[in-house]
Amino acid sequence: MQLNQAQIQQLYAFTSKHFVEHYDLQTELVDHIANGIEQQLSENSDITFKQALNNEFRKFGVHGFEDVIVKRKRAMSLKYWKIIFGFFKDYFSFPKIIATLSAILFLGLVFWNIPLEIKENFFSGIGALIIVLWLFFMIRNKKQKKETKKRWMLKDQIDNIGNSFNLIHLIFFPIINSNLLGSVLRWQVFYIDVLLAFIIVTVVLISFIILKTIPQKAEELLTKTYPEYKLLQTL
Amino acid sequence: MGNSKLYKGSLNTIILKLLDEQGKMYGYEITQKVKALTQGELQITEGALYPALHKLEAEGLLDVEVAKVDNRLRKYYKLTEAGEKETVNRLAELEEFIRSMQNLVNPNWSIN
Repeated sequence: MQLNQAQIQQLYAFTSKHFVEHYDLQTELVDHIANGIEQQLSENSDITFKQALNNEFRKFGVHGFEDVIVKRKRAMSLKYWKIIFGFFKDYFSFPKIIATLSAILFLGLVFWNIPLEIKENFFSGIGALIIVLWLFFMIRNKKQKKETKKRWMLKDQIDNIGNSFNLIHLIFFPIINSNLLGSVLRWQVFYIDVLLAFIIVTVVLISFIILKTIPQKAEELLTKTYPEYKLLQTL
Repeated sequence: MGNSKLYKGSLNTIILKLLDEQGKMYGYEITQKVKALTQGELQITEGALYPALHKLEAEGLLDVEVAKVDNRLRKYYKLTEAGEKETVNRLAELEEFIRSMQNLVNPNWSIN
C-alpha cells in the first residue's frame, strides 16, 4: 500500500515536531519512515497508519532523531570547512599564488622595517581592523539574508558565519593578546616577521572566503549539495 | 541479531561494498538489503546508518541524487571516484582483518 500525499505531509510534521528543523534531513527521514510504514501495512492489514508510524519511530532508539540530527550537523560542518579549504587552496595555486606570496612578503618587509616600539601595536591594529571588517560583513549579511520557508542545514551554516568568527577569534587573538607576541617580535628575526605576515594573510583570506566568496556562491553550493534544492523549484 | 559491537567498525565498509555492487541505493533499501544478505543476522539500525552515510558524503566518498518516487522525494547515494578507490582499500583492510582474526582463533582455517 502506497502512502498518500496527506500522509507524507503528516510525516513531515512528525519529523518537525521531533526537532528535525531542516528540510534536507526531514525529506530523507520521511522517505525512510514511509517505506517502513508501507512495509508494515502490506504485511498486516489490521495495523493503522499511526501505529505503524510509532513502530518505525521506535527503531530510532530512545533519543529519537537526536543522534541523527547531531551527527548530520557535524558532517555538514566538516563539509563547510572543506568548502572553505577548497577556496583557500586556490590562493596557493597558480596564478593567485603570485599575489598571495607578494602580499606575505610585502607585509613581512613592513614588519621588518617598522620600529620595534610600534611593531606590537601595529600588529594589534591589524587584528582590530579584521574584527571591524567581520562585524561589518556580519551585520550586512544578516540584513541581506533571505528568509525561506524551508530550512537547509548548509544554508544555515553559510548564514551563521558567527560560528566561524568564534573559531577565528580562538585561533588568532590569543596570539595578539599574549606576551608571547611581544617577546617573539623582540627577537628581530626576518623569518618571524614573514611568519606573522603569513598568519595575517591566512586569516584575511579565510575571512574573505567565509564572509564574501561563500555567501556569493551560496545558491551554487546549495544546488550542488542538495539535488532536491533545484528539483523543488521545478515540481 | 549478532554481536553489534563486532559489526559496528565495519559498517562503513559494508555500505561502500553494497553501493559498489548496486550502483545507487537509498537508506531504507540498504537496511533491507543487509538484512536479506545476512538472513536477519545483521540489522543496521537507523540511528547508525544515516550518520554513517552523512559522514561518508561529507568526506567526499559518496555523491547524492534525488528523485521523485511515488508521492515523495527519495535520496539515493552512489560512490564517487574517490569512494570507489576507498572501497578497494577498505575491503582489502577488512579481508586482512578477517585473516588475522582467523589466524588467532583458528590457525588452520583459510579465507581462500
